Amino acid sequence: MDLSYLRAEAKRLELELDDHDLSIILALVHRTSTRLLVLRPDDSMTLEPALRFGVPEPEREG
Amino acid sequence: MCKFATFTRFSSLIITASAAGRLLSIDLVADLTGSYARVYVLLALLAVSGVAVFFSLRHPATTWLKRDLLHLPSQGGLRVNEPTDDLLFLPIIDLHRLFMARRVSPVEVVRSLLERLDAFEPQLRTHITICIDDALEAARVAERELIAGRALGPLHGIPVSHKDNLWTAGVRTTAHSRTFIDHVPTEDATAVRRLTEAGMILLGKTNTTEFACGDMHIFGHTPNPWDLSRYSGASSAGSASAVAAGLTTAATGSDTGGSIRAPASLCGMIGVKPTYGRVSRFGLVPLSWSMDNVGPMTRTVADAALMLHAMGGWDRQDPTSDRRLVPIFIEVLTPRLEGITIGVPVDHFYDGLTSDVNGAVQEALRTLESLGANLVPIRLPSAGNLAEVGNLLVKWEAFALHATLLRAQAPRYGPKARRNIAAGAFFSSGDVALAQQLRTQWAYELELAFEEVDAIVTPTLPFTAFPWETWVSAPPDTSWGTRHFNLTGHPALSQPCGFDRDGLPIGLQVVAKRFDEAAMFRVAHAYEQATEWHRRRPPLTGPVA
Repeated sequence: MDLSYLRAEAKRLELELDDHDLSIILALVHRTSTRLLVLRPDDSMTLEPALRFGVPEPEREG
Repeated sequence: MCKFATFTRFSSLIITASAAGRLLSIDLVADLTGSYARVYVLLALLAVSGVAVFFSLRHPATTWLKRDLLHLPSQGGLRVNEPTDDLLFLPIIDLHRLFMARRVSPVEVVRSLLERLDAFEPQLRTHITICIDDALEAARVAERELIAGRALGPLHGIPVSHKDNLWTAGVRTTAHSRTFIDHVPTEDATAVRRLTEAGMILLGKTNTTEFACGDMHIFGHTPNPWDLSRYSGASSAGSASAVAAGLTTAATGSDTGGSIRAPASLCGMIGVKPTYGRVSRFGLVPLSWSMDNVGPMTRTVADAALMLHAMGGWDRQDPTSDRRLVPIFIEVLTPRLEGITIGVPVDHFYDGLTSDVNGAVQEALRTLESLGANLVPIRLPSAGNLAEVGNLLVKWEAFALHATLLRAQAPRYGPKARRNIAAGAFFSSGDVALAQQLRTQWAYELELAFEEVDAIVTPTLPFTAFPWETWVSAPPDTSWGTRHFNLTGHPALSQPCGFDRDGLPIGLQVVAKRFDEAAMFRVAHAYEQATEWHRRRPPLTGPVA
């Protein structure tokens, strides 16, 4: 996510936000997302154990 | 047929009573008693005892008609200030006693408050609107009713200030935003209406941050009455500062991440976030649909218990309001805590406290133990992981609520509110899902802890009021110990438990099980009766030039 993405999103959402607003929002959203990621619950609550065994190749037809 | 006719007659009576007051439907009684057959038995009993008694169960004003608070000391160990205390700092219960004894009139109290507001508002900016003429007229009416022996209850004639994000019919409600600057609601918020019906007098509308998440950029910020250079909390700072400074007798606030409890802690008074669903949010300018609460802000725990009883209960206009009956909380207040188990978290809540806060809270724990409470350590391992969860979910929900207004009037929002609310549009669905998962995990952890304890006690904040400049340049996390219970809906209260070396108040938070505010009030009241912190007054000596 970068400023140009936020500009496009703001336009799509019809929000009148200038670059100063968007740069502050970008920092805020980035910080929140980054911190949340490290708080992910332990393996028992996620798909991580399955990944340890490797992802199977998709079956090929024919 | 005869039985059916009797049943129908009583049903109509009860439903009529309900329409006049609050919910009291046959379905509800059936829910509570387990069957319609039992409803019939109950209705037959009512015929003997009188429907008026049944009606009084729901309507606080009627309830209190038959209860004389002068008898309370023998029941609850309430201690009262001497009547010679300054009227402006008397708790509700003491004022009520003086009203009933005809030693003081509501007119006298309102006039005194208006004079003090006139003197201190230029510095404190606690109110956005002051209802001078209407408050005086309401006080005259209350005086006549009280003299005529028609007291509605302990709140009759008591002045109250409502946070300026709660609708007040005919009185401007701005939410401190240019987008609402001329907004005059045509009806009251349910909490406001219920307090008015209980006899409270609207003194004015208190200052708040814009939409409870921005700045105080239009009407100016509210300084802390204990030190005018210090921060007074957000977003119910106007209510907290006004009550603490003797500029109103009681107030209301709203709490989405701690906005009642944090200013209560910083200003040294009582702030209550009820259980989610206890008090209707109809008429509250919303911030977060799943975390907003409306609650009382007072000088004593008993006063808050009285107000919450009047404010609470089911409301057809709020789909999140709960149908449970609201207990008469004041009846459970006792000076001792034998049989109560209090959890003291090992995780997060006692980390990083200033030495003064730590000292005061440890002393408070010793006091609670000396009152008979059983203190046990509890584990809440997720408690330190909730800052971003709360921040994300509030912004996400705020954007959903504000999207239409923000599209139409973004430039009219103040910068802080605009950015905080708009940010909610830019989180990924993965982030939101993860936050919801962490919220659920935390709620589960807390429920498990409450299987072992009746209440949990923590500091409200790890620090006392900091300089205003700090809030502008590098604001600390003022939801540090409070957002936890907005995420889960548990009731929580902040009360003073000491002062730091600069004379600034320290707050103690008492949390209870959902819909068990009675336990929360019981712990807080016993602590309050054993200490003197709530009697201190800010050192305001006169208008500052």
